[in-house]
Amino acid sequence: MRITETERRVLCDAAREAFGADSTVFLFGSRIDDSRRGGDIDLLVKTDKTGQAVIFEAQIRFLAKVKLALGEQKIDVLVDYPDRKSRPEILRIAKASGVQL
Amino acid sequence: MISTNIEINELRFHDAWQECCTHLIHARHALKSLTVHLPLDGQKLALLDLESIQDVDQLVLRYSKLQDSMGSKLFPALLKVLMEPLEDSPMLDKLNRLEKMGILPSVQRWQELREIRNKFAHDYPEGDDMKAMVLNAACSGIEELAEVLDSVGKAGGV
Repeated sequence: MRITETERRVLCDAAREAFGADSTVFLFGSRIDDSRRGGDIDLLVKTDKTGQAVIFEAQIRFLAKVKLALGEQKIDVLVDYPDRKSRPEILRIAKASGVQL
Repeated sequence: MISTNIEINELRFHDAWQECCTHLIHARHALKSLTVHLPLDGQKLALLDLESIQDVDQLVLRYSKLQDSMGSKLFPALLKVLMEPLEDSPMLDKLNRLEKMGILPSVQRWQELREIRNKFAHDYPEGDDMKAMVLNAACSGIEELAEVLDSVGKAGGV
């Protein structure tokens, strides 16, 4: 897993603030492969919050908090929530391969 | 020499200000054309006619350019005009200074407006409902950007 302790802490704290205390963050994609370098940070956040508008606002708040703490970098977030309608293939891959932070 | 530098700083500020005002005019024009469809949802978005799709594209383009230009050109130019020694400082220091000076209402909110812009540029395919939500957020974000632009203008003396 290629992520620093500071990054891990910032991501978990920001997720708790934006998505609620019970939310969990998983890293997937190239950053879980130790043999590769650089790359985007692909995250899956699991939350009990519901409603697409609520999730969207939480996502924007989360990303803003993370960027302010870590600086501008490419971070993509997928959110898994109870009433999520679309289930793209990337969500299945993220859930199957994600490493919890 | 010192007065020349001051003039150059003021010119740069005015250029950046003009550029941002132009983006705002076009963003507001697109917003006005889309008003009948607001707030958008996935279904409405999928059924937009060609004319309205052009308005959406214009809105996305101008929102992005306005948010970009304010952060990368206008804010640094204002701080120079105001003789704030933050030229080589990270963006976050500049934003915090602007918040302290009362020009930016909230650094966190500014970054959120940037994240709305980033949503246009890259993300996983999330379907029309999520696209509509990003567009609605940009539509209400335009007036927030306009308010900041207004504060910057007052602080810079335009």
